[in-house]
Amino acid sequence: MIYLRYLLLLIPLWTAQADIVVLEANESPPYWSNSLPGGGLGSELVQAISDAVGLQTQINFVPLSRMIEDKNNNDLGNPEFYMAQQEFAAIIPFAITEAAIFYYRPRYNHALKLTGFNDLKQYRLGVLKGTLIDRHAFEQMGLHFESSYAQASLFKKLKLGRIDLVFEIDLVGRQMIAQLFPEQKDDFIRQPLPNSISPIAIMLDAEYPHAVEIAAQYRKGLAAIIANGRYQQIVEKYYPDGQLPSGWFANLQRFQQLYSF
Amino acid sequence: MNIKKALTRLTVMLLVMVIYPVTALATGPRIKQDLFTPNANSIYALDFPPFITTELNDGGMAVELVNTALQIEKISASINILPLPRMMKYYVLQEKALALIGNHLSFTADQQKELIFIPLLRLKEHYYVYQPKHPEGLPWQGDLKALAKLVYGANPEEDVAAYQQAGIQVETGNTLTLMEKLKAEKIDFMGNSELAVNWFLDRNFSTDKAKFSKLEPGAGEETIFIIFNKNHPQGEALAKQFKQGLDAIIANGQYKALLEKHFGGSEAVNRYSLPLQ
Repeated sequence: MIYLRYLLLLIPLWTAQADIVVLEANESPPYWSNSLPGGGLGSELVQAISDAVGLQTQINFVPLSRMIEDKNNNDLGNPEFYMAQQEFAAIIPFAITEAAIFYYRPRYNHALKLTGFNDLKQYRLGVLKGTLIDRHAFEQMGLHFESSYAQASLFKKLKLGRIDLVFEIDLVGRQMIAQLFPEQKDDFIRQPLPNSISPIAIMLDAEYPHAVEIAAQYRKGLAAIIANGRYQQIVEKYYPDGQLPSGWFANLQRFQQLYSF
Repeated sequence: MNIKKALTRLTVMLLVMVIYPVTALATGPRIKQDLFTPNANSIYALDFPPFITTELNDGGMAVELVNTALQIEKISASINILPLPRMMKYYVLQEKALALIGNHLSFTADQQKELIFIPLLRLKEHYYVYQPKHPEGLPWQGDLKALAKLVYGANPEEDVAAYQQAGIQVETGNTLTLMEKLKAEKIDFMGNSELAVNWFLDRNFSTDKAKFSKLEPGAGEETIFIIFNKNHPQGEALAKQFKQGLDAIIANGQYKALLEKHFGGSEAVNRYSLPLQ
């Protein structure tokens, strides 16, 4: 009997293999989607990270409003949107997003030169409702923004000429154009905005059991798939033909430092 | 349709109207002034509504004060609002950002030597309790020793030495978390500016609002600073220039006018804040 007690003491209090870690994402293709094979870029990376260290991770798709309101869940996404409402034990950035400006080329007889906000004054700028952070400053610059509630609506307006430019997350914009206008997708020009880069992260709630140990496992798994090339394989599925934003890994490292707690 | 159904539908519609902008915000790019090129003069501000917040068009009172002083001195800088003090420290210590705006930011003695602190706003503070736990309030008359053995909710980098010396236990969290802990009766009291507490009471505790009680007398004051970084190539020069701008808006009445605009009149300014000079 005494040997059994010693044996039980040798079993770690928490083992990665024993529990399923539940994370929540909202439907936002091509990053998170129930309808995409593998669940989208984010889901594929999270599962590969988990597999690398034998962690079982379940991604539940829930409405975003519920994700934000729930202050005890584990979230997947851009930490900046969640941190004001919820405290996390660990934030593990594992990918990045980049924004771009899109325009419809057939409406212009030359390529647009867009190097700063001054170049945008002559255009009607389409943005998703709620994404303008420095509205006051933009109004003072004399910029004219039009908001829409849905991404599809922005690109339909762009094609119809009701707005001139659209600000959108690069990969989302490309996906939206391919869905809405598959025949004319090459008529839409995109200009990436290198200073718009944001992280996509796994966020573990402050009260989640064994959050620190789980975070260490995720970080280990991420390092492993970057080292063995699996990470590159996945991101290149979504950014084929050398389209992966430059500085992807340097930015990822910077965000890992920023959220290293 | 009966009244109950109509009310339910109306509630759902109102909820959708409130929630939808948040939904949109979280799936789109964040469109900021430095989207094309990084501004060499980056300033990071610690989220502290209603004084520093992305939820207000002008960024809140402290951000508008800074922008006004910057404009008067024609200093080009971008202000980014962040949720955590440790993120602010990363930017100022690792990436040599120009400046930080915030309260309750603690630095080591060595770090302080590299920083220039300029006060922006002095706010009166009060302690708050949750009535169901403390129906009679607390024996607070200005001496912390009277609150020994109770649990105080502090901000993450708040100086809590006085509480510990008085035998008070300390738990940390951001303002919203502390208010939730107060309601869950995990802490006994917390301190903050009345306006900051009212901001969250209106948004997050509207049905329990009356159960949060403010204690008198006041709990002291907290200061929102702009903190310039001497390790930024222009940190010292721009700190000096900014101070001139701030002095100018105080002298020409713009500072007072901005406070009255945000607080809601001169009486409210006296109720919630203290003179800067």
